[in-house]
Amino acid sequence: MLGVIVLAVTILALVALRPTEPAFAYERGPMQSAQLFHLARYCLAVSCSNATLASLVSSLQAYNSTEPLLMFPVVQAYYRSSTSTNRVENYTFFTIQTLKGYETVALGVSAQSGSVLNVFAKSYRGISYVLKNTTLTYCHVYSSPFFPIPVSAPPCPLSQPIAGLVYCPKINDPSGVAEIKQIGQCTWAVAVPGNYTLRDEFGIPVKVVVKA
Amino acid sequence: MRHLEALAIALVYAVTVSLIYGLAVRQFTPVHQVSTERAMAYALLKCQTTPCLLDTLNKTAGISALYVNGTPIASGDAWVCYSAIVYDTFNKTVTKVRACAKP
Repeated sequence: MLGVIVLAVTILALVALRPTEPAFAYERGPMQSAQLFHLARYCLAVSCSNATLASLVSSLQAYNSTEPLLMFPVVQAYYRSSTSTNRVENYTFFTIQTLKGYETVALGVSAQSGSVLNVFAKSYRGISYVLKNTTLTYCHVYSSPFFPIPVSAPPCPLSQPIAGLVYCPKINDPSGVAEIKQIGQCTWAVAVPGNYTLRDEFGIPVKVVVKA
Repeated sequence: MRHLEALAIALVYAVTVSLIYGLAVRQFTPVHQVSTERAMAYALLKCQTTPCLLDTLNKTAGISALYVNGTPIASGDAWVCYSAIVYDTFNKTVTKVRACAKP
């Protein structure tokens, strides 16, 4: 009898020790990185600049104060672009202050076209076009301290050293003039009438620079 | 005395069962809330439009409630919630989406 009472009291004491609320910690790193990438793609789609990016980050931080976005503070955000003879690159960099200190979340977008392989005529909606056949390598690189770096990834031509997930978005031509066919993981055979802008699946312009 | 003893044993049994049940239920919350956070991250990476994001989130088992700009489109237990801001490139809109995990 005494033993049962002691056991009952012990278990009751254990129950009393239990917290009334469930014990959990909000996870926030992967979602914030994804949110910043999402925002960066929007910025690139609407002709990005440092001012546009700063304004978007500012609006996101305002939402963070009322919505559970659970963001680490964004200390710095900037946009860079570079254009060479056959390659167009766009970058957005975010410096966030995590529990480990300052860390970088970066998105790199690269479009590199090859030389003209052949030229042919095409009639589209009653208009004649001279299309130039070339190859296009187009890819996104998502770099975040919260995302794993894959062991093997398709090559993505970037002049900035960004290591991260490589994604090859689908490409289309809203006007329907260009011809596009995927021939590799991040490689397309495209036929375009001179220097031309395609769109990827996120609405980002993909500039094809045709070499003479 | 025997009645008292039986009552004490029953009490021990009831308290033990409730303790074990409570511990078992508590295991699901962290799992669901982490899966909700990851689902939100995946949907944000995959999508640039609100319908695409909602469609992706709807396929996640751990999500019990969904709100678009504060309006519930799937209501259920809202225990741990995460929000995302959808910047729709094609429609030029900004939408607040909140997804909640069940307990």
